[in-house]
Amino acid sequence: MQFSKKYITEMKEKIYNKIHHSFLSSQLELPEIDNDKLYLLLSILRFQDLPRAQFETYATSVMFIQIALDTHDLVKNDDEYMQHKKRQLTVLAGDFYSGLYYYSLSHLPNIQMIRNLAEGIKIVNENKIRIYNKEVHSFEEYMSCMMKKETAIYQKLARYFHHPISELLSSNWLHINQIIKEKEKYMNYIKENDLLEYSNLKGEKLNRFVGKQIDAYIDSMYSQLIEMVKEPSLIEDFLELIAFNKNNVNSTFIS
Amino acid sequence: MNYKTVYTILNNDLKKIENELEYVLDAHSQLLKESSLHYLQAGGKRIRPVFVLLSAKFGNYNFQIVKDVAVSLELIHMASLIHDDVIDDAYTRRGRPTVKAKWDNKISMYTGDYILARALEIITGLNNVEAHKILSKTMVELSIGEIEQIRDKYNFEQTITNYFRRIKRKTALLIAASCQLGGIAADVPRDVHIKLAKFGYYAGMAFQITDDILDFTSTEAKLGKPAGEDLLQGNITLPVLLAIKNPDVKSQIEKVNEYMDSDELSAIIELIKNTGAINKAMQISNLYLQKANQVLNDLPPNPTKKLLGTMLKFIGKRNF
Repeated sequence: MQFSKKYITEMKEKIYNKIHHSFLSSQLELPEIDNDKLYLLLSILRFQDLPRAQFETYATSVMFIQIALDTHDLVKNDDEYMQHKKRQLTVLAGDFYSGLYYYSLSHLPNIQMIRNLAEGIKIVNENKIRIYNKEVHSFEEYMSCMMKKETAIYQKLARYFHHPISELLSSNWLHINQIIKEKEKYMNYIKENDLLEYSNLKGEKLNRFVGKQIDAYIDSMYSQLIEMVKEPSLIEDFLELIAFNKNNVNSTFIS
Repeated sequence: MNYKTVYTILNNDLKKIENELEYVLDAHSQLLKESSLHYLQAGGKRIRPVFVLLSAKFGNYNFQIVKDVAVSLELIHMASLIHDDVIDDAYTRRGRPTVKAKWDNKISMYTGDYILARALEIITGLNNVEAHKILSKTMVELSIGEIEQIRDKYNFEQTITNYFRRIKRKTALLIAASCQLGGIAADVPRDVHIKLAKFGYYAGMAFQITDDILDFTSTEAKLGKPAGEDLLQGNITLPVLLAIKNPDVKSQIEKVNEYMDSDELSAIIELIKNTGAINKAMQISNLYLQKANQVLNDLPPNPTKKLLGTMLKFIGKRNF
């Protein structure tokens, strides 16, 4: 592995220290940091051989965005699910984290990076709305929206550095892992919205059918990834992580 | 000259800014397009773009550059309003349903984040590091101001200094940034854009104090939201802090809670008005306007000074 567990934990602590606000911390739980996304982010930056200070500023800035977006995802429509005050602070915490991304990159300074990442945030939210509002009408369209929603930030970062392997990892690798980890969510959305036109199937048969389609999709994304990286040894640790995530998903999934 | 004259003078540029705002919010998703344009179509004073344009007239006024700053600042303001309505559980703004009322909280969150991203995309067209440092600090401070407003809700023991610090963060700094970035976009000398920031800061403080006064003195028809709403939500503003200096009044005001019925609330609003707190708050607002005027006098000779002075008068006298 490129990064030790200890290093990843240290990076998380640095990020948590930078987003600390005494009142928020007393009222809200610490935001979660997705291990895959952090690992990918650090790898993209490692490929660039950046000075330590720059490396850490880029890493924390991108994570501020991710945490901001994830925090806003926690805002529910109904106070039954979320206490009023908690909802208020969740909105503001997301805004605060998102301000920190702009703040840290403007002090680096890197205006172009601010722009690239803002484009990513725009794409993420456009796709969040399309999915939430059920504006997707096919399996392919849904997968494409989910990929953009989950990976746009990292793709924009990789694009900034003009690093094709990073771009590919940001799209295919991250997307594959997200599907593996959240397969149930994907299956439910596809079934609820009849995206595979399976009206004659029900129950277990339907689950198996949708599961197989998703697995086939993962396989095609995986093949594309292997095919496009000329030297697979460069991404060996990433392929190991896919295998690791596959082994760790809930065993109740049907595949 | 009244403020309408200023808007008339800037009319051509403001119209182009209005068109640009509509253009940049042209999302692929029909719903996102509608939710993004919802507050834009409701109108508004466009105070921030006005200050950007006027401040830029102190330097090399290049509309293409200045326009981006004006559009971005209005978008940042608009995004914060959409999120504020989720925070406040507000169902009307400017007399129309809020985004959260017309759609829901989720759509509000995504729309606000989308608009903010568009604002940052556009402002990065301005290749000036100092401008970005100023604006990014303003945005962080703005969130902290709002977070601390929640922390201080129904806290009748808070000090007036606390209130000033909060309104500085939640309102004055963005108006200060509008003035300063307008100047920077027009390449004014550093001492001039620092003065413009000070002017905007004082004007912004007066603007927010006036807003807080209007919560007690205006009507739902004019405000586009129920009168006394701030107090009902536990936002302790300057008129309240001045009124509670009287212990008898304080004991009554401390009864305010979000479930209070409108008759009880109206009685407390009357009580606050009868203490003279509104007049005192107006005097404080006027002091900020005077300070803004002093800074205005220090700015280099320019016909725009008169227009900025008119905007100050508008802030002091506005009733909506």
